[in-house]
Amino acid sequence: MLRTFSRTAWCLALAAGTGLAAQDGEALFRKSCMSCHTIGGGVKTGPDLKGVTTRRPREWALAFIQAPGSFIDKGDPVALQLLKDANNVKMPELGITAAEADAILKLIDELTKSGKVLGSKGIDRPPTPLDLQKGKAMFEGRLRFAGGGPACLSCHSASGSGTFGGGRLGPQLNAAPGKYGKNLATTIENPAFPSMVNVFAKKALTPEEAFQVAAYLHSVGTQPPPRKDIVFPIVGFVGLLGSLALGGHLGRKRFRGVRKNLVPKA
Amino acid sequence: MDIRSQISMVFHLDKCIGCHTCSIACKNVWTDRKGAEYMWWNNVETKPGTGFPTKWEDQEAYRGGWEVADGKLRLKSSGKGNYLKRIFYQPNMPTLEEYYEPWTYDYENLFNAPEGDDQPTARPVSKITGEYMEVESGPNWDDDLGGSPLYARNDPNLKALTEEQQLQLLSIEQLVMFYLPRICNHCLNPSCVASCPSGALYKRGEDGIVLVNQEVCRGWRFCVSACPYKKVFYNWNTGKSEKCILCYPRVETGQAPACFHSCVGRIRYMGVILYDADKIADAGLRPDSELVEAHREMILDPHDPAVIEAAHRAGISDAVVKSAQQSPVYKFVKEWGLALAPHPEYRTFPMLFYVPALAPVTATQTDGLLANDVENLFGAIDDARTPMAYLASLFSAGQEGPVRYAMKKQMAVRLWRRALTVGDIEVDVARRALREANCSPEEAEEIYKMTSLPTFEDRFVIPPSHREQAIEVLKNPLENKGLAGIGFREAPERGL
Repeated sequence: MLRTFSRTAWCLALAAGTGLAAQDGEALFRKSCMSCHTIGGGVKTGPDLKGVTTRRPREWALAFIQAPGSFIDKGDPVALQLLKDANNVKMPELGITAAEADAILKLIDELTKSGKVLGSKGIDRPPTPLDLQKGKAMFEGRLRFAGGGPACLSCHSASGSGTFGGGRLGPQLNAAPGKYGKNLATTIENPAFPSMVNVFAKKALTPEEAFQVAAYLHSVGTQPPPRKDIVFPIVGFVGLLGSLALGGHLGRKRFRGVRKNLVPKA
Repeated sequence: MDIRSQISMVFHLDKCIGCHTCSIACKNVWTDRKGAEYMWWNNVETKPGTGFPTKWEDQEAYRGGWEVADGKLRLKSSGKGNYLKRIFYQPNMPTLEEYYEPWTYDYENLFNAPEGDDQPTARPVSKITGEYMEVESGPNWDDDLGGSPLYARNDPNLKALTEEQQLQLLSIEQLVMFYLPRICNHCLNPSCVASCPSGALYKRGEDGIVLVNQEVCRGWRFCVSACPYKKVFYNWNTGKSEKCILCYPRVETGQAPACFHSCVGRIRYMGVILYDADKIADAGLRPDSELVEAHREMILDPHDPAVIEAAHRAGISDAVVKSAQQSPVYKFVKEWGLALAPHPEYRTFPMLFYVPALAPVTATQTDGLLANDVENLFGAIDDARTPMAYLASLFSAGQEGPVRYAMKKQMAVRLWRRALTVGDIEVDVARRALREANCSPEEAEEIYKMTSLPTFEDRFVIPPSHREQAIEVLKNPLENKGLAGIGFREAPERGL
């Protein structure tokens, strides 16, 4: 007990002394950066960050991560160029501390050196009808995610999804394609939203799944509404009448009272 | 041979005046309680009529009694197949509509009504809801052919008659009636007992009285459906079923049941008979035409030494055997063949027998004069306004033979006594009538005495129950002998 305690204390002391390590950086990167950036995986909403520490001064990068908005405000030429490249999507203020930014840069250094890739650009092909179909099925939970994550419908809704609409915990997703554009799939794959991060931390969607769900969301509102099923209600109504008639027929010999049938109604 | 004793009954319908004293006696003793107001363990019906509950004889509707299916006796109400299906719902029970909504009157209004232009009235008040109600039917709604276009016409027994006979029977100034007092028949093969899922109904071993154990009854109401005579009633207050108990507390102390005791016309006879329980199963399978015979065959001769010995072996006491030998029921049913059970086709073998009512007028009118037709002594029977087929439907499963036999014998006895007392009939003619009715002058005298002049002891031959011996099986009557006093349930208090 005492030994465990002393070891923990030692570790804490070490951490305080040396700052955050590269593995903390990976968790941070996944949580805050990966929906827009990759390291060696190609350009997404934001640039590929492989070799960024060689492209830019380290001090610049550290400051930019902590407060990207201020660079644009003061007219930094590099930042303005980046904004232009990113289709005018501003990098959000993520509230990252200096120590955290340092850890992220360490991670980038490490991966740049080793050549490993973190994050992907996502799939880039026109969606097929099968993609839409599967995406809708997964959105509604009729088809399970391979990783076992919960179906979108449990928290979100989208026009025409589910018989009784979807959940109200998360936002209605009709507007999501307009907001995220072609990066919707990667956003779904690596969600940076506080509620979703934890839920999908260990049950991430595969790029294929994210692409299909995104394809479905893109199609929401553009597809004609599904044809109303006329056969089912008719079968139900006819079936109801039929079962009532059958019950009446089976019970035709039932006791209907004796005196009631004898005495004429007054 | 499995000899058992059964307290059985004969009602002589010719003597019933329809006064309902029996019903009132019974109601006051047993069924004036909450939940039992609508029950009439004893009721008197007018025949033709629909009775109480309405059309109880219509087993197409109520499905009571037994039926023979695949060579076996089966309850008509619930075969084994639908027994469980019906455990929570008896579809063929009479409802309050078929009985009646019991009521009393708002008598207080007669005293407390405010002064007004009209006489105050006592409006009927439901004994079930406590609300004012419109009385639409009662337990005796068709009494004395009241509402006969409706009730007499719907008597299920009329089905046995031809269209012409029905018209004759129901036409004005031809309409005829007699009374049918009914209590529980304490059947030999009671369908109520057979139907009970709880085993609450039982037939007492010592005297065959059929009872509902109020502590075991769970109110499933199978018995209400199963009894073809509709003589088991459900108490809506206690949630248990109840029925005529043949006043067993009175019978056990040697008294006649309340309805017997109070009978004004002295129509009721009670006595024990010995029967062979082994024959019940086979008798129940006999065709309708043999049921009267099969029923009588089960009843054993209490004078036969073999029967007496077998009875003793079966644990029937000598006193009961002696009582059986004097039983008026045995004489009416077996010796004289006068009494018949109601609706033997229900196959429950009722142990209440009826002597069918003979038309009171025996003389025929010729040229304005009344005369007895010597050539056609029994013509009055067939000319009677109550068709033989009607009585046969009621008492012998449609067989006219047993009813005709009983009627002829009654007629012969009447002719015989008329020859002896009035003398307008030759004694020889009366003897001929007796011969034709299979009756000896001695038997005729006996029938005459038992019918017209019976004493209390002749009518009610109730066997001693020997409760003092029966108690010894359960408890030693001497267990407290020699002990000082019976002790105190609580410590005695001293002083003030």
